[in-house]
Amino acid sequence: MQLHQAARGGSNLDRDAALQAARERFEEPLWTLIGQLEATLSDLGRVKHINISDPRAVGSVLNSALTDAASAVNLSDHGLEVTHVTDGRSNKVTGVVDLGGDERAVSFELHLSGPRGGTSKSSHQFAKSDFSVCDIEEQRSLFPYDVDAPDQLLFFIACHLSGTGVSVSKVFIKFADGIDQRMIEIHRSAPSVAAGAMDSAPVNEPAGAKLTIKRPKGEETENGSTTDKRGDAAPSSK
Amino acid sequence: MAARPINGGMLLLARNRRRKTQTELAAETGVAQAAISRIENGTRDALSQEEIQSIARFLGFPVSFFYEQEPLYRTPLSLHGAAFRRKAAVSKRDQEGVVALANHYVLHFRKLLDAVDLEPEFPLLQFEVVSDKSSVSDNANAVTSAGEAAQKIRASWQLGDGPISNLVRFVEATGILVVEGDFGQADIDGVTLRPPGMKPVVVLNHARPADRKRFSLAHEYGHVVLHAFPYDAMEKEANDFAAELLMPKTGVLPDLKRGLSIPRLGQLKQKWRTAMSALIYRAKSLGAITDENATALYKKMSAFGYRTREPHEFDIAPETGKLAAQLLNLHMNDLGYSLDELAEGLRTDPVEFAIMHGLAVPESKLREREKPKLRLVANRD
Repeated sequence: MQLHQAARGGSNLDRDAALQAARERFEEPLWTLIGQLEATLSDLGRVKHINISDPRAVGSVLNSALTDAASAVNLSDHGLEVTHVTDGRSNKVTGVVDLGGDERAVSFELHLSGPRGGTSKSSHQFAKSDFSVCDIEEQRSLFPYDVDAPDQLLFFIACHLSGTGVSVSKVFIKFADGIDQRMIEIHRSAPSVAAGAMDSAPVNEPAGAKLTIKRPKGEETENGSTTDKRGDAAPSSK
Repeated sequence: MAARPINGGMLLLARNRRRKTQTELAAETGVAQAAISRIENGTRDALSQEEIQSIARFLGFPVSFFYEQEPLYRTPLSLHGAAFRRKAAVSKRDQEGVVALANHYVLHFRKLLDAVDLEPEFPLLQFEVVSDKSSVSDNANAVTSAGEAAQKIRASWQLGDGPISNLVRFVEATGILVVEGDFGQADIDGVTLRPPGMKPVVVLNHARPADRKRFSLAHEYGHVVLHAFPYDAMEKEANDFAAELLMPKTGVLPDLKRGLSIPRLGQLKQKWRTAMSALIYRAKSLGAITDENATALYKKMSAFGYRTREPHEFDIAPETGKLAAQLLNLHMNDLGYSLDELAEGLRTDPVEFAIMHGLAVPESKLREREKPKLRLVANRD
């Protein structure tokens, strides 16, 4: 708990300014990343037998998807890196933010929040402490981080899922250092529908009605002749 | 030679199509309202050239439109507009506008079908819901419920009890033309006209979500196969028919029995291609969930705003028909008609014709339409 005490004691950090700066710097790339994760959730929602309401399943899938999702949107081009933790539970997204000329390392951790719970709990992960509560399904787990995490700019990316459980309605950057619950909302640049949400129709279509151009009378038979009043009656024997 | 008579029905169609009252038309054209009224109710059939040109210009139809001797079918499948879903919330002007739009499509299709043979893949079956006290007509099959009719339809389409991938294609395979039209602000989902001498025409509100259009089409198809004449229970029967057609009991019940939640409803929506709210209603009506469960689910849907607009992430792909497009293609590709020629033959402005049938509107036409109309005014001084 050294970090907790240190942060509480000697910090002269303007926490509101830090939130603002983090939003300004990372709002767009974080939402781009979340867009990818929404697509993952959408696809997951259509997997047979998967219960999308099960936070354990959803959390594991998101953490597993994070590295590839970050790569798909070239997160590194925006100054963010994903550090994959060996047991796969709680990946870190790290970068650098400029606080009035003072460059500071920053670390984000993805959390599901809102109706799903998670980030509002009293115990959280503290990266530099000797233990971490890093499981988004609230399981305590001990493991070492490879990343040299900053001691004052630890954030959660707190994702509030929509009622469907497969899209994100709101996202907040929230302090994860346990000092207070300050947070700031980050906004999507344009509302989008999660990619892959459209279901393609299964194939059981009929051939349909047949349309043909009417042929004028006379063209209906090969020789163009028309029938007389007797029609197709057999010739008289007489 | 006597002057050609104006067809009052065509004037009524054009006026309702533009959602104008007789008073508005009279004020804008200078033609007396009494004259308009008499033309429309058939007690007068002539106007001066200036008057009919003024009306044609204001309503945006060619003058020849008003001299068409087409029979006009003003009412939908059922009398008194009873075929409308949720008709109570719809103004008379909007109802008339939508019926006029449907009649406009019928006018086009009737002429286009004149040159074409239409051979349906499946028969258009007819049913009547009978009880032990009633008997069935000669040309219909007796069923004891609308749901039974839906089961027989599915059997005739050689479907099991699974989801229907593309309902429009199956309906079209029975010879019915299905199109989507611009209903403007009218809160109407769809309308069916059954003109004598041709197969029914269904017009759906193109602004509705795909799942709702599917249910509307199933509902309208229920009217077509069940209701030769209107009666009180017809709307409920059409809904029961639609529910069984899209979500047959034997197929959907196992899905609805597994604990329903909003995410689960979303998954089922993608499977059955019906609205989440329709699935809740179906679950309740089949006894898979209690009334209290259904209410709780509806409340949850409301809390997230999903009763107004179901979540985008569970949207289903829209269905497209192809019969109307094929009909136009035959005329334009095989018979060699241009857009202008077809529009002229069908007495409709080319741009409006193109929009109605989803054809590309040539740039030149749009520019032409935007130009202010010049009128020559003679100076009498």
